[in-house]
Amino acid sequence: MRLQELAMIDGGYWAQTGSLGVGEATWRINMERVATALRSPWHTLGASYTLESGAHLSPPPPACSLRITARVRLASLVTSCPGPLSVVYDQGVSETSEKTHTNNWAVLVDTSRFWFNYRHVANVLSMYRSVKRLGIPDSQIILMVADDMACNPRNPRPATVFNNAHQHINVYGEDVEVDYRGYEVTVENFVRLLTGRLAPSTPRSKRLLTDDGSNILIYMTGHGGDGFLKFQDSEEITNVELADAFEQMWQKKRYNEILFIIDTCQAASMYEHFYSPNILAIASSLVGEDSLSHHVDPAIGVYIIDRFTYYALEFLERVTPDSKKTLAQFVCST
Amino acid sequence: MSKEEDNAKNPEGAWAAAGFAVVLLVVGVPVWWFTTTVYRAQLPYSTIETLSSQLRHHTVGVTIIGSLPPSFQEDLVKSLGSMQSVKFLMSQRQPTKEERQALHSGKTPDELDRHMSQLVRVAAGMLAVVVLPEAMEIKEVVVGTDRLIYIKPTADLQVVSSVVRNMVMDPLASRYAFTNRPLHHKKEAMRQVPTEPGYDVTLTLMVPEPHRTKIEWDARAAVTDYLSPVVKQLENVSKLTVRSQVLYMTGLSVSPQWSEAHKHYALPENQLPLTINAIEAKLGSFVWTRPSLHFVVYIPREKQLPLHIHAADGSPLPSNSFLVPRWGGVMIHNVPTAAPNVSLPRPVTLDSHWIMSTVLTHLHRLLPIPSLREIEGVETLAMKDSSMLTAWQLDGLARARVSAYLSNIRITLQSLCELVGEISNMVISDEVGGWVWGAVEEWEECGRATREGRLQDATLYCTRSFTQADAAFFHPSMLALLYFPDNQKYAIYVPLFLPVSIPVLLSLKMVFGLCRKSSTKEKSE
Repeated sequence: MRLQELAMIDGGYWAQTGSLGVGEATWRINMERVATALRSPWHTLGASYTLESGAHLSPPPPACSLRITARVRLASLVTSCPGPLSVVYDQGVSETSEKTHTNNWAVLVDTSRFWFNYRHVANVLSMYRSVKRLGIPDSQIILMVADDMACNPRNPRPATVFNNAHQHINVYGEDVEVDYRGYEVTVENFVRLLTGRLAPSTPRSKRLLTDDGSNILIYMTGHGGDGFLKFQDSEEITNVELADAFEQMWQKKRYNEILFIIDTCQAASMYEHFYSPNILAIASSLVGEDSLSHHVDPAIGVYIIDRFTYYALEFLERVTPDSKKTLAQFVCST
Repeated sequence: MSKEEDNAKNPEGAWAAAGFAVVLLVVGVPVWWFTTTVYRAQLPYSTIETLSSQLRHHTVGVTIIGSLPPSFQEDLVKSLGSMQSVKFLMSQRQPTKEERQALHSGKTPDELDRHMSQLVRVAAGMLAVVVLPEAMEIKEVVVGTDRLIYIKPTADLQVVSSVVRNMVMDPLASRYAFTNRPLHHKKEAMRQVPTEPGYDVTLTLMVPEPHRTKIEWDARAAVTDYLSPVVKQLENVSKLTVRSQVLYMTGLSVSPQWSEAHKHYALPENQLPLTINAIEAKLGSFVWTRPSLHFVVYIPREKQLPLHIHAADGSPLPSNSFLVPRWGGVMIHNVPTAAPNVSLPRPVTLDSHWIMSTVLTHLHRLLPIPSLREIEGVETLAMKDSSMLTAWQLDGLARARVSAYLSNIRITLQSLCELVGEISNMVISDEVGGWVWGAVEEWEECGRATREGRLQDATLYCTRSFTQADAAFFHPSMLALLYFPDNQKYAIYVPLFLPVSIPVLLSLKMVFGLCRKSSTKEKSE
């Protein structure tokens, strides 16, 4: 991974990297103003973002602690995976003193409908399963799935959704809890969910009740284009709207950090306009690139899963609640 | 040539064009304007700006009863003056005859405190420092139950100063109110629940094996005895609704190790964070939308009795309970193991006192209620036979909450103004307008009340203002998505007006031609 650009914008530091490893993942660090206390970009940029599943107790020991500290000293950057970025960790930082969050939430969104978009439903349900297994409870996961593949009349294996041609895991499972289903998955509902402006009669399971200590994982998948993401084949959400929604969340202190993962075509365009601090965005393709699916299952007859999510799951399936893997390893593996 | 003659003969064409232009401008544009402006209730933008830029501070009056060496007093004033969000008004007076008698006759700190509290009336939000005669056999600094601090003239200045500061407001709360960002690296700050007007407190008793143990616990009586007095005291500051439930057949999925040394099952500290998530769904937290605090009493399974939590260094925790920041607390209540031939389920009674005192300790940490635990050399007196809070604790809590509210309100209203300013065609309904005006008024009142030291008024105003500001901010109609931005406005109206305007504009040429014709005619004439 090479550092391509380093520019100082608005007092924050931006680093954009090129493609790395298998699957063309890109990522971008959005530095908080606190990091600007270190004047020169050739200094340490300590930005640590921790995504912990299931850690409630203070001081929370890491349970699946995905953590990244990017130390940008151009000369000594790690140049290729799998050398993890953790090589250049800050030495004297203890686990507990960096934690500023008290709970975890996840918002998992699948925006496409119709049978041939089976793979998007498999994507989001696989992430749901991983996130739930690693400790985030259902009451703190908002799952938005636009179409029901398990009960689709064209499904040769009814009541199941698989993410693998070998059909190892039924990601639909016995206890999936979908909060927004079918035609409820709209841009308006999504933005209302993020900003909190829901009708008073909305039940608690459909609300994002985060506070200033919450770390949120936002995973979106579907069909996208340059600067927009298609919802349900009839409307779009633009990157500007998404950035504005995050800014509204930041102003009302509804998150501590956001990990934004997006698996669509030209996904990198979606995070271009983010201007709120503490957001780490991982996209599956650059602008001008397509995000491709991984393999087809001849028994079911459609593409089963996308490449980015496939590799991401390969990593996540090997993570246990008490593992010490880092976000850098996650990024390098996808 | 013919065209000009035509024009001269048909001035009607030019008059028609002029007529069209006039109708378009005078009738069309205003009609379009009035039918497409959105209703925007007027909001007090300037007031919000002025109020945001005002610095807020609490005023606390401290009366010193008795005489202190003047240097002590000056130094005390100086060190207290450095507190950021609180301004102290010091005054001094000599004790009255009855007070002097009470001071000399008091034998124990409790007795002394009782007498003095009756004699010295300290208003809510103030403090009084009583100087004790040298000869008394009492600790250097004693904090009474009703806003009185008793010090000896030989007391350490630093101790007195830190006692007063901690009593007045939790130092973390005052820093948070100033900076208004989450305080990093501070476990205590992260522990506090976010400031909201009301909380739901749920007491859950978890019995994983009801076929073995029949738990007898009168939760209602326990709550009435221990929790209700505190809840009633806190009514004006934060409304707590207490519920209780019993959860059967649900256990914590923990794997403790048998510890030979202590002869019990040891639950290591690092397994604790993973226990809550599995049971959270069953605690019923999805039922209400108010923020909730959960206190769980867990009866271990038969084969894991007795179960004790071990700290990181391997020693068992005396309290056998742990606190989850912003969520609540869990305590493990061990029951005696069953005798071999007893009939199941065997009845077991729970230790209500231990349970409720743990609950109260957790509540004190979560709310947070100011305490002087960390300061050495201070004796703090508690209310006798009651779990109620002392008056200064209540004041301290109220002050911290008022500060938090004030900064929240400022952020909410500022953000709302920005949002509304950015999208010029967002509808601001009367409802939202009313809330914003109400919030601003109450905010102003609250600021005034804190500056004048009227704590109870300030709490009341702040709570109302916060509720209204939040209601306005989170109103469903305030969604930016619903209103198209300015550049799209052009895209909509240009195709509408351009086809109509172009012919009219072009035909104005005829009008000008006519005007010039008539003016040259006049000239030539």
